[in-house]
Amino acid sequence: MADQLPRREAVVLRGHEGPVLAVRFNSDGNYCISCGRDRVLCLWNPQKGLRIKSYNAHAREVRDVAVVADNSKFCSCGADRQLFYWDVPTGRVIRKFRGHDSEVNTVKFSENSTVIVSGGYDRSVRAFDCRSHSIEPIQVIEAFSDSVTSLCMTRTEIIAGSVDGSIRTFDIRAGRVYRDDLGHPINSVALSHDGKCTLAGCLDSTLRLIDRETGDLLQEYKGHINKSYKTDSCLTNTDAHVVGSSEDGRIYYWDLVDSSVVSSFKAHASAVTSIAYHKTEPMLVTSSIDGTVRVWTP
Amino acid sequence: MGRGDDDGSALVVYGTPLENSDELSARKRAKALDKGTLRQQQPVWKQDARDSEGRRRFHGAFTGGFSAGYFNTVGSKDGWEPKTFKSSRGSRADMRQHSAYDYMDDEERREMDSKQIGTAQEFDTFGFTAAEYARREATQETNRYALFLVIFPQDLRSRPAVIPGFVPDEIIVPPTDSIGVKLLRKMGWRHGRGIGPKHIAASSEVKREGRKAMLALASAGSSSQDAGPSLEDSETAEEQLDLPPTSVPDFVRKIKDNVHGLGFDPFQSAPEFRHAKDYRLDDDKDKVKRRTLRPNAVTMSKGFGIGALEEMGDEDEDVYATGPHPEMMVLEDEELERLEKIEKKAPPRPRLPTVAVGKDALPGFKLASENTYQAEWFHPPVVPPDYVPVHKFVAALDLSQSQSDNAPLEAPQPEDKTLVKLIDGMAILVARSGTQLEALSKEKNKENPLFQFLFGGPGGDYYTRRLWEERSKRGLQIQSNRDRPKLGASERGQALGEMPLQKSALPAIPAEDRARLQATLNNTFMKPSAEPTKTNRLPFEDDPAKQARYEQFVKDKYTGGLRKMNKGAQQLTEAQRAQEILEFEAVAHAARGTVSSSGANLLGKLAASSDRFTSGGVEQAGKFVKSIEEQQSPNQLSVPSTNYAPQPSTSLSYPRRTEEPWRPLPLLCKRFDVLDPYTGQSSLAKPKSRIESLTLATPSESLFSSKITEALGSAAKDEEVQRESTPPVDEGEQQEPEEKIAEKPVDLYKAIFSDDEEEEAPSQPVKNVDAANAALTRLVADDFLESLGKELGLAVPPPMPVPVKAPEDSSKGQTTQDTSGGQPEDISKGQTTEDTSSGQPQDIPKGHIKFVKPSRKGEEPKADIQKERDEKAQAKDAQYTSEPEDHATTKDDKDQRRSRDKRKDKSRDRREESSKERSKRKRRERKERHKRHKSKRRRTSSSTSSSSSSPSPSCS
Repeated sequence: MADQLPRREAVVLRGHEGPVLAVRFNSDGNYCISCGRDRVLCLWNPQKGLRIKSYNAHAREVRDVAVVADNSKFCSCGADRQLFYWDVPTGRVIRKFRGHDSEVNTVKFSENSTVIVSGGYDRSVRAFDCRSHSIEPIQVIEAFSDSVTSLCMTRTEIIAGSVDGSIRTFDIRAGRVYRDDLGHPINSVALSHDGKCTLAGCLDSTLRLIDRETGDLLQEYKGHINKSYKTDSCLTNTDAHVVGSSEDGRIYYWDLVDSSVVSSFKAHASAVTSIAYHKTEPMLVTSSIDGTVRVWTP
Repeated sequence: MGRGDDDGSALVVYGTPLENSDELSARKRAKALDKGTLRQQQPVWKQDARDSEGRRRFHGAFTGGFSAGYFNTVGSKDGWEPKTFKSSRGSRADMRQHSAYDYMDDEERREMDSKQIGTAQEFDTFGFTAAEYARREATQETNRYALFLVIFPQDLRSRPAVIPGFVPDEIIVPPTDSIGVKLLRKMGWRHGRGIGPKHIAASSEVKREGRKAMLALASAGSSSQDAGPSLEDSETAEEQLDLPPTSVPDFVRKIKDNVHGLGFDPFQSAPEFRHAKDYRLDDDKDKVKRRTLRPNAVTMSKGFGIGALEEMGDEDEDVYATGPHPEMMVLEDEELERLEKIEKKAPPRPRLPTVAVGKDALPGFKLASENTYQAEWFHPPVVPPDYVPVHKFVAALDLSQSQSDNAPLEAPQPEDKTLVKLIDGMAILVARSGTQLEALSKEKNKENPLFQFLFGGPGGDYYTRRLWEERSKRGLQIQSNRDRPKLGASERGQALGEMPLQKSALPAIPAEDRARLQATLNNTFMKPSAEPTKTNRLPFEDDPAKQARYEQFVKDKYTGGLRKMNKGAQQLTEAQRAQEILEFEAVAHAARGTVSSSGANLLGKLAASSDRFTSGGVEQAGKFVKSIEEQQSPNQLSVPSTNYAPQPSTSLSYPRRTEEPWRPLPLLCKRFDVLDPYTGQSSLAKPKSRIESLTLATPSESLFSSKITEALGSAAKDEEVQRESTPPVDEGEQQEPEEKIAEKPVDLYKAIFSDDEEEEAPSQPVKNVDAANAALTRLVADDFLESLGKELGLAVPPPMPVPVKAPEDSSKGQTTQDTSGGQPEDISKGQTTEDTSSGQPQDIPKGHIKFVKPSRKGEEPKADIQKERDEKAQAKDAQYTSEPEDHATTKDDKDQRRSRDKRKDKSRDRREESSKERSKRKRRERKERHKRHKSKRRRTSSSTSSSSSSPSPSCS
């Protein structure tokens, strides 16, 4: 099992001039898109290591990107406080949403790709409508007491992690919000593929696995360093391992159950900013401050 | 149109011959041109085929193409014209069924019509088509007439019309008769008469009878009771005229009651059978039917319409009878009797609904002679005579009773003491929790040599004996039915001869998980030990509480199951408890010796095999404990732990889950394909805007003011002593809401819009001080004093003349502010008491301040209040004893200061700021208002502070 983990560097994607801040797979995993401080978004073929297209419109650094389920569009956000809704083939901005009052940290699409949900430094989560022409948010959720760093979505829920140390699950169906206080600033939030657990990367160099139903702490994963950078964490496609990125450029794999470090390797020269795991295959994409995006396979 | 040429040849030519244009004359040519038969009139490429109407038929691809459809078939250039569907309440769109007919042009329609078979007008005997035709004609006629009228309105009378103008053709249908009717009429027939040779109906008796019958029918048809004499008249008239019988519709004359084809008479060639049938019918009970169908049908049936040759019988007498025939009545009675008899004979059965039974058969239906429908009727089962409706269980089912009946033999104890203990424990356990435990432990301990007694090994006899003993001890036999052990899945499987299942869920759990699970379970559950450890020595003698807990622990351990929280342990923290449990375990283990726990891993495995416990159990258990912990106050630690220092683990406090309602907006719900959970509820409370907070705050403010007036009112009624006590209360009241709303800009709002009643009321007495001053002078003085006070910081009492006013002015000053008089010292006591209630700060020294302040009411800058108060607080000790009112004020100040010292935060500054602004604004406002609304002010002040001013006269 452990030898199936992607540890071998398959491709290095070079093209960003400056730190790469986020990298995401598209919905089928054949392409990935990265964004960085050079205000450019790059579409890559990770298998071949080709840069397919770059998208220029952002005025400041681009912090996160999310791809629509049918891969025809994507949405990016960044320090210019706006959300850009892009058309993939033409590379044009379809819409610029009003965005936040300050930097936007994270953006995600709802499952049916009708709503863009973003979280920002202005302590709010905002939902934007892709269907209408309005650039104003549908709803502004200002429940947080600090910057919202990460988001993930289920069918009817918005799960957002904040620096105030809480994961808030906004259940739209039930009309309730569940607040899980972890006691440490939360850097990243990821869902397990069965949708039952939330993996929260905290700034005390710990990943915490939270039972979504009860809010119980299921497991803690330690070993990496994560104290100041915005990094990512996720689960592998089989949910067997937890993947975490470290500020020293290493990637860590933990066993999901017994939280032992299964494997770790030096991936980048400097801090890893973002990781993305392929939906079906054992393939990992990492991005780093060193300006590269690397593709890892077993 | 074929036509043979007559030039002698045998050729047959079809078609219309074209004529050569050169052979034709001009007139003929034009005619031929019109007909389209002219040849060579145009070049070929200009010729086109046209139909009989002269329309162009063919539009080639190059000469029209698409327009072909447009010109000849469809409605518009663009093809079929889409119809707009319009339907409103007023005019409903009719559901139109399209037919091929709608899409045909005239030719096609004609063609279509030619295939249909219709009646030509001249052969339309029934006149429908003719009537239709005539109606159409009439419509045309009417239209024409209308047109005529329009053209020649003066000729209105030229055409006789009942209703002038357009008459709907539905109303007036011109009489058109079919050719048959016309013929008949020509032959002398008149409408309403029967057709038949009248000479047959000769002037015979029989004919008369027949006519009578016929007339009876007519009278019955019109159902006129008073038709008797007129009928007679008409009869005689008819006789005189010797008219043919009135035409009667055929269906009236003879009701078709058979299933033969229309017009078929089975008795045509054998009329004698007809009589037989009639007779049979008569014999049958269809007379009832006939009677019900038509009261007089029977009476008429024979004589009417058949002709004079038929005999009429004795019905002549009943011509005018309208009621039921006496004979029929008899028949009916008989019928009923018969039916009753039948019913009596038949076994009781569920009655058919309504009509079938009884006389009320529906008109048009006759009562069936035999009821073919028979509801199935099942008799209830026969209850045996010896049946007792209470179930008694067979005694043999009682397991334990049977066991107790045949008690096992006394067995000697095995030599091995541990085995004896084990057996004892097992027996008790089994007796307590049933045989399935035995089965389980059998299963678990197959290989264990210690448990061979379960399988009849050494000590088996003793075990059974002990088990029996324990059972009998527990009195199981009494409640045997309830406690009868239920078969587990394994037993049932065994009984059915199934293969025992493999240990199912265990292999799926990884080893680490299992270990963790075990640990959790050990924390949560007690392992039942086979024997109670009897410890003579007390391991925790020095700590009785702990000893008690230990004993409880041992007891629980013996029992097994979920760990209980005994009272003492509840006061401990989780870590402490865990530590203690470990300790107890160790002690118990030491005390117990080497006896292996029989069911030690039993429960553990039981639990492990069930997948109820997930890995989250660790935290859940921890949470559970924690929640209990949180209920306790942490300083209840009565038992000091010797081994370790209790340290609350911080990690356990996280994660914390809180849940609260959150309202997603409807659009968000819509986009997420989710029903809005707050559907129908009022919209979200928006974050308060500034304006809203203003408006919302006002009521509380007004409430506050009313409170003050109330308090003042009560104070006014009471004596002076009480008055002294009341002002502090007022002050406190005033102080409190002020603090509450400190952050809101309410005061601004109030200062602008409200009447400042609550301010005015308490400050009323101050006005009395400078009663002698005129308004303007005072205003000037106000300004001067204010500025002066500001400059001096109010530390130094402004050099105002001490106004010693005439005492008689004071009473006047109470009611009106303008003439508020200064008071002598004794009065001022009461006044100052109220002064304090106003919250107006006083300067030091007291006696002076009051008079120094020329302000009518709280015109002092509030910013200065603070300073002033502080100073006052310092100076107070020396001063306040002299006058009671001073005491009151200082008390207030004390309170205020205390409360202010308590909250040293931003709000204070803000409040002070706002109060400063407020006071400034107020001052300005008041000046203006004072000028303008003197009278109004008087009113308000008198209304609000009437109570406060009332005591002062009493004082004076």
